[in-house]
Amino acid sequence: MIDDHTLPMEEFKQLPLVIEGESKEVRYAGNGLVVIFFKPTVYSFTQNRCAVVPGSNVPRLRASKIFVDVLARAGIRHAYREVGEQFVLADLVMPHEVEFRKYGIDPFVPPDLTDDEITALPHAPPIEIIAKRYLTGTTKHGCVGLAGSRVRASHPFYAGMSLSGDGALPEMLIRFDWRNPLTNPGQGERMAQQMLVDLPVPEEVRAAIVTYSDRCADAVLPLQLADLFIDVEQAQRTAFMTATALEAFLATRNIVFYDLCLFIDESGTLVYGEVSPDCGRYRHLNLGSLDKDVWRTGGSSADVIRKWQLLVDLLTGEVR
Amino acid sequence: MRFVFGTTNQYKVRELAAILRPLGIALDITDPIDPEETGDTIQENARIKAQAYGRYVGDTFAQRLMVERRCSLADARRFLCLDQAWVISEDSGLVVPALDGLPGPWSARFDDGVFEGGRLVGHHPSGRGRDEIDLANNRRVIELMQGIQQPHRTAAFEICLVVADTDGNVLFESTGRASGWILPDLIGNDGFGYDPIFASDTSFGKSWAELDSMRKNLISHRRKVLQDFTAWLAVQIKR
Repeated sequence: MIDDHTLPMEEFKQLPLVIEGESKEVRYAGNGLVVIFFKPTVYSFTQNRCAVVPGSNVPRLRASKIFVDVLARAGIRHAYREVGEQFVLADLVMPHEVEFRKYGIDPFVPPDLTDDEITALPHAPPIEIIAKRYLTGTTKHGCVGLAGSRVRASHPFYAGMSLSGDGALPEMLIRFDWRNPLTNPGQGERMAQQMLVDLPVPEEVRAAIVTYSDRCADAVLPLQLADLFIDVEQAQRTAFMTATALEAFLATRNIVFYDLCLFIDESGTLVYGEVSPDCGRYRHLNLGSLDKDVWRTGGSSADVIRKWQLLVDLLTGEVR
Repeated sequence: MRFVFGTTNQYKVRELAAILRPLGIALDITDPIDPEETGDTIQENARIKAQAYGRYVGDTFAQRLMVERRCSLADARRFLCLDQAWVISEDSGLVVPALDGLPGPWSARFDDGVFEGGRLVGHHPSGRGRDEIDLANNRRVIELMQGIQQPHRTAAFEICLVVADTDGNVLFESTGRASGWILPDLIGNDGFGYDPIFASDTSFGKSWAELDSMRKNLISHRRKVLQDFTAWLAVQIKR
């Protein structure tokens, strides 16, 4: 078996490619196992910023190792078997065909497994799941007037409450988002043709509009639609248990859990994605944000690494 | 699976709903009953309440349906899925060693107590509203603690949460505790109950009524039992 602690990058690159996206490269190690490389990239849709931040993968790996251990203690299954300083050794979760098309990669078929064994593997839906404790991010920004609105008076439990921006939601919200690529080439051109027809717009402005309109956010799925790709009821439970286990652990470090982006397999029972400062919001009571907010608000790459390393130090108890 | 919770406390209802609803588990609220709380501790009273609620839900609901539908008690129980219905009960309070553990099980209505020589000898419900009795309870504790110096002003918030089935069998029990001390006066406007006179190391010496809900939730005795309850639920769901 491959030792992910000593595997050189050159040897990793020789392994068959399973899937490669903006933040990870996954290669097949045989026997239903994969080696995952966390790319040192940071992305913010809000700021339309995606950049290579050297060293940013290290705190992501270290935090993932700690969080995956927390989940194991809570009885939550995670595909990661070992998290090293450079790679993760994990069970293979078969990517969805949409992901292969999105990244222009030939569909991966494990060469050493039979059809029955491949069928029995966990399969990934083209969906990411958001567990949200506070009214932040796209839910707050995307629903104008939601913050400040009162819960209906006939609600059996939460009547009389109001939603406030950045305030706690009455209960953990579990949302299913269709995973779109960062850009959808051609989308901007189509929009420009429809919107700017006969308008005297300077070419550089038109080009900017086209580029901006190519951007592609994830889309919230109606639950019936999501259930076609993932067992929604089971996934909701797994997401809730995952979020509450992390929330309880973070509370012991005086860190408040705000939200988390999760990847769960089609059965709704297996978590398989990264759990790190790159995919959640965590705020220390006295030290502020420990996540990507520093990047979203225009902070430098050094700021990002400093914040993420601080999170790891708080998690390990090196800083109290 | 569904839970029945007997309380009029909206804060506690929301707290439980926030755990059960994301798991797809139904929560029903039933009228509070008033079982005689004869226990000497918060744990004993939580058990007494849970068992009383369990039998109340099992018997009362099924018998009501039996009369309405003119069916057998067994059919009524089956129709109500009482084998999948569990009741939740809790008791919580402030325990002050210098006051021999009082207010303890009497916390909610401490000022309705009858005192002789600083000792609780009886109890007469006054019917005062929650805010009014909370304020009076706090003042009563401060009065009883007059002249008592540190380190004898220690205190603890305690809570016990119990789940029972509709036959009154206890299925789950968890206790939580937050240690601190009694302040000489009421301080702060947030929180409820004895928060204005309670401070702890975890609140950096501030009264709990000075903490915003986010900070209080990180350190509270309630958090621990709700975490235990969530973990227990996870196991039940998997079965």
